[in-house]
Amino acid sequence: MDGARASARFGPLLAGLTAVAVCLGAWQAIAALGLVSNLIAPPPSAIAASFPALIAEEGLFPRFAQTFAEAFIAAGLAVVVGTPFGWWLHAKRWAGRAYESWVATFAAAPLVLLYPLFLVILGRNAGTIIAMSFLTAMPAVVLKTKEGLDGIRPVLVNVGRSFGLGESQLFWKILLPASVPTICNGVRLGLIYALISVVGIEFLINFGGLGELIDDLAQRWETAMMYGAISFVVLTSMCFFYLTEKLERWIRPG
Amino acid sequence: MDQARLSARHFLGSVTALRVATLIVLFLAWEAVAASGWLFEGVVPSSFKIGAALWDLLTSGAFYSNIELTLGEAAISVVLGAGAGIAVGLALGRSRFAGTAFEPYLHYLAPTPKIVFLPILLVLFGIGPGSKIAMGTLSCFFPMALSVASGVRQVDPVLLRVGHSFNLGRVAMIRKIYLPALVPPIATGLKLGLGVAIIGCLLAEIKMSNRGLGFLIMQYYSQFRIPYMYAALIVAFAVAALGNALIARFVRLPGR
Amino acid sequence: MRKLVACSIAIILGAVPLARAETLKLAIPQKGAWDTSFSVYGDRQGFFKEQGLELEITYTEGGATTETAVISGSVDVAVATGTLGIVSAYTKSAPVRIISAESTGAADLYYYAKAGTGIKSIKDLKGKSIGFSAPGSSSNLALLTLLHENGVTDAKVVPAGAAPGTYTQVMSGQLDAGWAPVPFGLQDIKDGKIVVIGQANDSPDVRNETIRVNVVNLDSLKKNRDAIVRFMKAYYKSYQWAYSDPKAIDYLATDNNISHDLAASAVKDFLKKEANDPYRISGIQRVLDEALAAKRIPTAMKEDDVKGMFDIVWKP
Repeated sequence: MDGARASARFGPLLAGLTAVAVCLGAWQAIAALGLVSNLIAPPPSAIAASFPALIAEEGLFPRFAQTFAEAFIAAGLAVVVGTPFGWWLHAKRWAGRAYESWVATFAAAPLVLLYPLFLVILGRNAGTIIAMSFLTAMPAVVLKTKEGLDGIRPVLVNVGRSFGLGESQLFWKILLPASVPTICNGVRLGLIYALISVVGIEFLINFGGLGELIDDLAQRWETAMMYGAISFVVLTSMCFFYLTEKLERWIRPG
Repeated sequence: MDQARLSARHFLGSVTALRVATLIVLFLAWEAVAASGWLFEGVVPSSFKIGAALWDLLTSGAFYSNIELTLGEAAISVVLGAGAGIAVGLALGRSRFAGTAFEPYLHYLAPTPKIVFLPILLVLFGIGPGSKIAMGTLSCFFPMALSVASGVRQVDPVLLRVGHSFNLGRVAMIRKIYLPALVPPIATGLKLGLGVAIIGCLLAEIKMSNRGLGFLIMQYYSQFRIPYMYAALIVAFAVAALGNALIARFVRLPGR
Repeated sequence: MRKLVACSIAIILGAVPLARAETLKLAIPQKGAWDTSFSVYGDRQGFFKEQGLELEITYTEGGATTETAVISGSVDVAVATGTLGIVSAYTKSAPVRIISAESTGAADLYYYAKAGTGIKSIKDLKGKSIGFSAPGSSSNLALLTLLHENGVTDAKVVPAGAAPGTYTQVMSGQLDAGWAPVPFGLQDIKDGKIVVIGQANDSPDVRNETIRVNVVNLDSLKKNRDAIVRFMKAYYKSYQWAYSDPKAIDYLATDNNISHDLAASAVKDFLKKEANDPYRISGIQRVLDEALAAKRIPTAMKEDDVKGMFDIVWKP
């Protein structure tokens, strides 16, 4: 029994790690065979070897912290504003009708190109990065919140009503729990978009954390270090993924 | 019957009124900022200047070949990226093992800015539209795969049990049970994926190109012809809106 | 939907020209600028056709993007790419060679402040902020030299991005001064909105440093040296033509959406002929020193160490 549980738990983990190891091995082989220039795609071993210099000379950890904080704040704001907005679009049919497609369009808008406008309004600082990333992250939160609430079966709501629940009780006892998986997905997407946007804008305006570092290393042709910095962007998203998982478990009852 | 039709018309009327009112408010706010001089007018030009620039673009024949190119790139990106995303999403969502084993890595990789892979894509797909399509495809794949994977897991278990009791095969299960239930997550995935696909193509064009909407935007910006830049951005917005409308029609969202 | 896809595939296939033996792929940063456009002008005048060459031009946003294009072999030749970046790539054994100079000194770069702020020269920048484009760029290095030569030690130098972004920040008061390449901003100078506080070429050191070069991918050079030689012949002819035929001024004006007069004064006042002589290469030691300071090369180097970086395929 214990063995079965352990294998159910570690089997997938092992499979995933094996797949990653195979991919890295293939990459190493391609680089070793010289199929792609090491300046364009350095082997994983060179990337791993670049970490000490990245940490000692390029300030990897403070930059990581900065990018993490900016993305976290931007996505947090997107959740605080986006969830109620999504609920509003769900609750008021006319609002949903009027704005949902606009929100979706907004998600597709190349907002990142508007950075000169934001530079003028907010200046060259973390404010610009956070504001733009907040706007980039919000549509996903709004759309997913609405999708989650729309997807609740009317039976549930009717049952709630027949038990005499008020609007706010209905929301907390029925609507929220039933839509948490979808909304959490939205939060996760919001974090993804926030992080892409934060790194991208840091990259564009030469300011701040990992994005600026990636650009700088690219200009200096320190490709191995550049991929090292990129792997820290991946690490940031791992942290976010872990946090949202915890959040989902904490909100969802049972 | 008449009553219902009347109230439906009333409903649609109020939606349109709301949209028009919102547009007017946005327009007035923009004009107020442009006229106030709070912000440097070079960056916040009057919407009349933007309108004139837009008219100028739309009446020049050369503009359309650029839009066509970017549109074509984005369309192919969405087809490839969304197709792959749905396939991978289904595979991950249907198997608990595959989902636990591989899905986290998708979540980890999704937020890496795809633009950093442009050098590799250049080597693989050349400097032309190929590398732009690859960028768009890569961008579109992740939101679709993640949206579908989580959608699959939320398919009503009752439906699945019914399917199994009818002894449906794997293909039939996907066609009759999963796909219909997956319409909303696929629609969301498409909406989000379309956006990042367009942005991916535009950014790649901005970095390196000789045609396309991104190329134009870069040109207007570097010459500081800001009204033209906004006009080109409005076209990009419009393309995205059109794409969304097509998606909405294509998937025929229930009740919308 | 299917129609749309079919249509788009047709468009994209149409956009990829069939590979011909004599097609040269060329990357150009900063579309429309004077010296980066010589090959564009020459192409319009048919100089490259005379040499049996068909140019396939791609524009880049500059910096490492141009270098990436040529190092990855996506293009055969890149014009007007920074010497510093090429030194950096070469020392990391990138397959790239310099075939000629492109710009010696930075004739096109100038620094400006908003009119009426009291800042009139580089000396006035004490305690003020000034924007350059990106770390390690010529706008950055020339600025540091100018500040040093003028004894300004406490100016705040800020990476402010491309000229339009810098201009925006200067005009909205976030920066006290900024950089620009002509013809950007000339109309504003004429209208009295901004004042020039210094040119990069005010410094003799900057004036005599080859800051931009034309480069070739090493594989392309090995495979088709003859085509590269013919490219340089046509390029040299284009350069001579640009300074002798007034039609070049028309091209500059049209490409940048500015008046003929403005274009003419840009060439007369800033973009001197000797600055763009492809065969004047100097100040390489200075480039190497700057590369070291900007961490673009790992250790100090002498000119002899980078001899192999040059392959001057043809000289007039």
